[in-house]
Amino acid sequence: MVKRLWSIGLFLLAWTFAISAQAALTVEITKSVATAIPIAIPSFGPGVPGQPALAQVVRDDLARSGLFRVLSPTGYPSDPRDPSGVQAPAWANIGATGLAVGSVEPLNGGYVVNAYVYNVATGQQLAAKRYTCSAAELHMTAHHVADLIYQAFTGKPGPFAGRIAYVRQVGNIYELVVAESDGWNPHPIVHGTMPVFSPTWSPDNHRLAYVTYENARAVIFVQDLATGSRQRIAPGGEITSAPAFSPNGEDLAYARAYAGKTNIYVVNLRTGARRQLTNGDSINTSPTWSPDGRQIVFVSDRAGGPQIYAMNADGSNLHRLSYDGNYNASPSYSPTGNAIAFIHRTDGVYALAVMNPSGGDIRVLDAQGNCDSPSFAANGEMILYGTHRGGRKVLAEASLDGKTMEILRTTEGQDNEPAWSHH
Amino acid sequence: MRHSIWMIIAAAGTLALTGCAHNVGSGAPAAGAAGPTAMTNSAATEGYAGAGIGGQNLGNNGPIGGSSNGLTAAELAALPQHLRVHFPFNSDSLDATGQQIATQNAEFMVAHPHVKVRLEGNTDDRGTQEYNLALGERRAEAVKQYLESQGVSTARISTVSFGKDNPLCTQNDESCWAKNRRVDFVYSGGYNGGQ
Repeated sequence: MVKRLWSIGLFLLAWTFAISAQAALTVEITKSVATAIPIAIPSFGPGVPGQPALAQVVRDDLARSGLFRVLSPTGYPSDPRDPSGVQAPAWANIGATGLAVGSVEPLNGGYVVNAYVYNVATGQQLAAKRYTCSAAELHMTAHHVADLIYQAFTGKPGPFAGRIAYVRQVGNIYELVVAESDGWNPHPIVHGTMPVFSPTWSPDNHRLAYVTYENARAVIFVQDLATGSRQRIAPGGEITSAPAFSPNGEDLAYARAYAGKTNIYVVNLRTGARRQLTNGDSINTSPTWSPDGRQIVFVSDRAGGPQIYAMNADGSNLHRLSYDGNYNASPSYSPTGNAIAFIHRTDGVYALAVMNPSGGDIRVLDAQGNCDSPSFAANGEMILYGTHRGGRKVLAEASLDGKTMEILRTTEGQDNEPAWSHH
Repeated sequence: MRHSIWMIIAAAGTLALTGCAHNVGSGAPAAGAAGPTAMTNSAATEGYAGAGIGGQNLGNNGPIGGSSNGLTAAELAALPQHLRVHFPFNSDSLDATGQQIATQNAEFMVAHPHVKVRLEGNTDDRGTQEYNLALGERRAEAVKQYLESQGVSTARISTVSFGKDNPLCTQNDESCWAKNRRVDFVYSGGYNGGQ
């Protein structure tokens, strides 16, 4: 189960607001624009037996974003299931700025979900939506409700209805798994005894590129998710790894190893035309594209150890970004273009960190265990990555502002090498 | 021995790529029945079904490392005692012991012209796999160049890397890390390419 040690602190904060005077409450509402938004989400009713209730999935999503402070249900004045039951002052009284109510009703073997989102201070309804889905899709529908609320208050698209890909290892079996953003409903799309790594989504989310071994050689495959068919990316039968789709989906940047050197190439996926971007005897790998497709950020050890560099998409203007510490790797460019997540070794720990696109403003987000494979959500506000807890490989999500970090639900086995889908 | 081949399970019909709400998202839902747990092979992946179910390679070169194969009795009898060299952290230099072992393996190859070697580069499990894959390749190349300097022809040597995916041990300590930083010599026979 997900560890949520901070929920106790949040509950205490919620009670503090419940007893504050009206004037102090007004100040708090103003501050909430810059800090976490207090929100209440009463029950929508039961859904699929044995599965978490829809409202709880929504609460967990919003809390994990770091942008909301979810008020505990035990303090709620009522449990309305539609707008007629909503009395804004009662919710303002417990310190809520936001409120989302709704219902889950069975229909023809599936469900109808209604969701209504309110600004408690003004009493204004910000959004109202109806969803119909199968029982299997109810959990994903909860993520859509969370995104609806997220966008209503922040103006930005929410990250929760995106999917994640990751590698699960149980014994000697490796699977590349696609799941919902909280780890639920995993589906293996590759299964076997060879390791898989470096999964990455095509911009339209219809394909995953990944690396595995064939005849002891690392090779990139691009697999179509709907059909399962896949294409080998190994021009000339060589060793390839570290795939990265260009933002327009036409090109694939990758690393090619030969004669002890590893350099970055770009191949046009339709024509097969290929160009070499880096040269020389060093290791150059882990390319990641800027969202405008003009720049590629990557890892090179030409200065003696792995550091992060940037170059134009044609290989020109190659320059170094990272100067802090002697191991910086695994860069991942935010889809909004304002940050680069990377792995930064500090005090012997391979920590998750972020930098600005020029390499400055370094902030460490997680140094509790060795981290790898950072991947941004489509809205650039959260980072999915692999880390270690208690000797096991687990996945985690952290908010870009560093306020929250949460380990994803895990069962048996080791989970790592995650990638968040686009839009 | 061939490594296991992938068995791919199709996602057709079991991944609804978007929610089913009005005004939400883009892209058609996948055709076929919804259901998060049923995984069936589609016709598109039938070619992969049934392969890769063979057991784990138990060669002592690690869980996915190769093992020497196809050698004559005489070649097997003459195999060097040490078929592995180790490296310091982040390094691809052979130390004195490593050079000694590599020399013994070079002499074996010179004396047995029908033998080929695949040099498998490995790293410890710290750092990122993408960089480690490249580092293992660099280590394998360093051993290859050493063998060539001892008279082994290039055509008989190939190099691969597993990065940190082929560990001999999994403890989080320096002694295990040192064991994993290595290049393994995997021999095969029947080479008739001359020299």
